[in-house]
Amino acid sequence: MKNEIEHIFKDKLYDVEATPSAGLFDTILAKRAAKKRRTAWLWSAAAICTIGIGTWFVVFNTTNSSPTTTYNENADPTFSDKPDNIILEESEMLLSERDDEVTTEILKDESTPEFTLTNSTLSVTLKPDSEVLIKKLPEESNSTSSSQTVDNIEEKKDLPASIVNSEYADFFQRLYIADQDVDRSKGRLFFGEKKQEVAADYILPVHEKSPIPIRIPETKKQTPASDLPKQDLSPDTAATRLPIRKLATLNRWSLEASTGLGIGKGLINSNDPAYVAMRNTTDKSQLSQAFEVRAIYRLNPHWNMQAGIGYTKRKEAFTFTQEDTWEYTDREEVRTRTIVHPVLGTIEERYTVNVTDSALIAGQNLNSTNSYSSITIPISIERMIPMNAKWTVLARGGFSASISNQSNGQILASSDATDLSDIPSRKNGVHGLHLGIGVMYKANKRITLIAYPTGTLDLSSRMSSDAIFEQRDLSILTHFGLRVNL
Amino acid sequence: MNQNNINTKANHLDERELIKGCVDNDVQCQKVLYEKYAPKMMGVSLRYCNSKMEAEDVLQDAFIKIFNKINTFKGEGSFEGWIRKIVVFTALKSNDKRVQKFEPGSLENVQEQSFDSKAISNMETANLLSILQELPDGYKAVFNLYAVEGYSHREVGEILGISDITSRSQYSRAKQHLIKLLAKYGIKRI
Repeated sequence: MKNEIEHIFKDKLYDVEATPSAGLFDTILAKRAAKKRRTAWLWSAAAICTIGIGTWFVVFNTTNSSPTTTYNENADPTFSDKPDNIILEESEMLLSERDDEVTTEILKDESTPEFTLTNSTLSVTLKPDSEVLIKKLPEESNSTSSSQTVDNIEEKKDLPASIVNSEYADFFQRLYIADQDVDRSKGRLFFGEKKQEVAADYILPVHEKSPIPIRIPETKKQTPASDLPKQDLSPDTAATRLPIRKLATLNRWSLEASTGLGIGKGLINSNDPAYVAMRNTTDKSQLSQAFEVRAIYRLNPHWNMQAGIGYTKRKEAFTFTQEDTWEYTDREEVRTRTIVHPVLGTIEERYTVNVTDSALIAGQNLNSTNSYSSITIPISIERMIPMNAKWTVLARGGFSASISNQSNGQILASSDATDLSDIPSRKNGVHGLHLGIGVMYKANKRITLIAYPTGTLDLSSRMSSDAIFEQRDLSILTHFGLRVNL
Repeated sequence: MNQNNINTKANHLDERELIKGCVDNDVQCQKVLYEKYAPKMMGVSLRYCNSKMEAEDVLQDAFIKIFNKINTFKGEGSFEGWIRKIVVFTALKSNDKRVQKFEPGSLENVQEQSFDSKAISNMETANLLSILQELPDGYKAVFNLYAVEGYSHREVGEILGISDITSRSQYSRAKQHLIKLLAKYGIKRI
């Protein structure tokens, strides 16, 4: 009984057919297209948001990430001297990589009070005059009344946190004085192998009258912040937070000059495969050169943007030996024959014959040294991966806009390999992409040396539109040069 | 004229070529595929839905999914089975929006009832379909999946997110409900 009802329904309804409304297929196509458009729109919106957020992060993270701080104006304006024993790595400062209890003594002076930043596991002691100690706290320990947690600095503006911050600023200031590479507008304290962050990004407090202070006054003793006049230097009120001022900060800029050596090849495209094959066998790469000057703006310790001007000359030798050919020449030749007649005696007769002379003509050696040169404006973004204090791995890519380009020399004009003609070059508008991976060696604070193998590829043909072929140049040149940090 | 030629060409493609055409977004191939399977799939959709309009909505969504995901069909198993599965799942998802309720229960409280099976066999298919459509959504889903599609109770449970015991009890209730509906069409209980 139970099976019967299943069977009846299955038999009658499993393959039941019904005709859907006419036009349903068109609706499906329309909805699908609309969904695709919507999806494309969403992807575009997501991409725009990502780029926007990324740009915002890169541009403003280095300027406006500071908590609101107060600054002790009444403190004694003494100035720090450059300490001798600071060891730093670029602008993200690793004060200690060690895990021991009482670790790095950065600056030495024992005459001043201590201010302590603590979180649940770490204690950073800042002495204005300027011993810096980093301690690892027992797990159970919490902040005491005399110490401020880093997190609380933002919230408890009336507490001595402001003093801590000014000392903190002073500390970074001295790091900056010690090493110009340090980005004094931004600092982080790290601790331990995992580089656990013990203090958030901190922007140097800036006085209205000296927007980019060189030195920061120090306090000789800890004074309750509530007793001190305060100046609000939050991002809203501090004029120096503008990114344009950041761009004007010279210590973020470098200049690079380099010369490149390598080889390249023209990538030929033509409707005549025989011509392409012939060009690929007749064109031999020669040593090519490039010269480049770039201005580099450091966005953060890992990324920078570059723009410059460069001259590239790719060379190749064109060699082709024509086949030997037979040359035929028709002419008339007058010949004489002698007839001995029994009556008339000897008779000489002249007659004319058509003669074809043939000659084997050896094939000519056709050759030319061709060059393709251009003046370009490269725009790149570069990633820097520090390996140690001296060596950094670099990777950059970007776009090159060509101002003008010239192609000199001769090429075979057609696949019958007989005619030579001048290269039908375009005079401008050959843009390209470039991508390179290189290394940088820090010679001293200002000078770094680079070796940068870089590939460039034309995006459009270098030949004029009436040429029977297209040619995009691919070059791989290693740039050697130096960078000067301003 | 040209359009007709293209249509004719697509009509003569075998299933594999048709699928390849659909993967390449060839509208003619998509149309041929639609015309080939739409009537059967409309039948499937009608079994899970309460009205023709609703069934067409399901069919429409299902074919959009089919055309979007056809590149994932690896040729394992029958293509019709793959399409049918998409239609069934689309219909179930559509029913989900109306909040199906599956009361967890035991089999003891459901009494089997007998009916005149011959009379049912003689019924028009359209009438049987109407009766099936009148079932509450939950019963309809379980009955369709178990009795018509041939899934086991364990599989039905996995598809609907219920236990196999619940699936069994729902099925028994669905059947009893169906018999009551059959009575409206003059099918006598024995």
